[in-house]
Amino acid sequence: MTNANHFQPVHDTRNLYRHLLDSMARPGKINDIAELFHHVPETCPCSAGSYALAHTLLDHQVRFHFYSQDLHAPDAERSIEWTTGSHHTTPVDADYLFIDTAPETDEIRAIMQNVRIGTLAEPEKSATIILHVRKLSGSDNLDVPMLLHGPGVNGWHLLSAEGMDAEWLRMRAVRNREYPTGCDFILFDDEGQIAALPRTTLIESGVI
Amino acid sequence: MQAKLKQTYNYAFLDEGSKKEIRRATLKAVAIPGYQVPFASREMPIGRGWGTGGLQLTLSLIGDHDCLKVIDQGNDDSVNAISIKKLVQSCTQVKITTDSERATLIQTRHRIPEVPIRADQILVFQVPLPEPLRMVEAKERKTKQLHAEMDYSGIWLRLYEDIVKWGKVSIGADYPALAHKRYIFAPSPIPRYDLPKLHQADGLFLFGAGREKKIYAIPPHTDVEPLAFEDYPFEVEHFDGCSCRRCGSTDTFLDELYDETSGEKFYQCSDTGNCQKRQEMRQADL
Repeated sequence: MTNANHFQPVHDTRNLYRHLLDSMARPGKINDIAELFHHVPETCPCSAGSYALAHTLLDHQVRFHFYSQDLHAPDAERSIEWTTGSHHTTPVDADYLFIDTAPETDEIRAIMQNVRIGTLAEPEKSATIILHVRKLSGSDNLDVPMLLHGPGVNGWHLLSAEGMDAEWLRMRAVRNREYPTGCDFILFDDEGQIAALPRTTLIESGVI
Repeated sequence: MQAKLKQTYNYAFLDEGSKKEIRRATLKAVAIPGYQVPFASREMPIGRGWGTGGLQLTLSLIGDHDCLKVIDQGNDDSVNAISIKKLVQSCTQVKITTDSERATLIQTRHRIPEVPIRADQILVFQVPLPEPLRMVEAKERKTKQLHAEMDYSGIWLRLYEDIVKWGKVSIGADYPALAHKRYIFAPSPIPRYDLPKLHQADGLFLFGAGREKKIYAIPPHTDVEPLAFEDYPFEVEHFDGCSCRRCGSTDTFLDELYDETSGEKFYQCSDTGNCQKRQEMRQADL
């Protein structure tokens, strides 16, 4: 019954979760989940990262927003709805936002102004933004270099991304101004690398 | 005669929906150090208050490549620790160990192992009472508001009253601490001796309270400051002049025990896994 090339709802989601938890606990640490990307069906109408993360995090208890400029975006929305049981909604109501292709700068601003950041009493009722970038690196060689400080980081940590608009970081700083409210970011690239930027992480970047 | 019904469970006992919910809460908990994230807390085959919160966290994390250690007050062989190990083993294929350095996942009740937790290890705590403000405020809605407003005057007053009455802070285990300069959290009833191990550590610490339905976390390299006054600093238990009667160590957390017949007092390591290793090393040296 088991097919090695099939994304396993039990073991692959668990495996991905452990990498994601490690990345979330150690902001900027890049985890390699390329092996899991190979299990994502080729017919999947979104990126392998969005597919794998959607299957790991979503079910009927949470709602998601899927952004893509791709022609197949409506198919991807429906596919995620059918396979996870979660409902597609606007960025204002979404618990998880999947940004599958890079939006224009003003669209980023609109999304970030609308995402939920929780309340002081319930900071967990905030959105997690899952961002598809072209490439992630643990040094400062790519377009958007980030110097990270905060819980989970021993001193400072370097992370850089290609194919990520610096507006995300600018708007993140605006929305995460009042800790503990704020939103958390998960970044993944085409090669199967993931990293996370929880709200506690302070980012110094040359581009913002 | 009816055929005997074979009962089978999902991998790691919990259904995938429950695991997802626990995982989502855990990720949020890691993003907000010390904040108690509510979660559904399922019925488990052990009673609430017997480690169901820790067990649910363990089951949401565990995979076949993991090596699990379960301790109860530092002890690998207590009934509770053995039962939890057997339960996890019966619904996964994980290896079990008593060596904290070999384990990738350690579930604990009321102790942190003597050997520091490494970056590739996760320590899961069983938490009976996750709310540090409960001793000064009985209502959940109010304590939530106090945390929201960072109004911690009640608990500071409680510490102050302790000093006025007893000349020192009388809280032993479960000593409240401040995480990332924002949330006061209950470190579960670990001795004060273990509390500094949470500060700027290498490993990830997850706390699960099954009965109270809360999950919280202390990520690695996070500031954890025990509540104390400048003139009444935080103190840990010390064991001057005492040593473990089994391994002879003088630098570990010791339990005070009494011989049933003679009434004689003696000391023994609380962390049995570490004590065993030290005994073997001592044997090898002789």
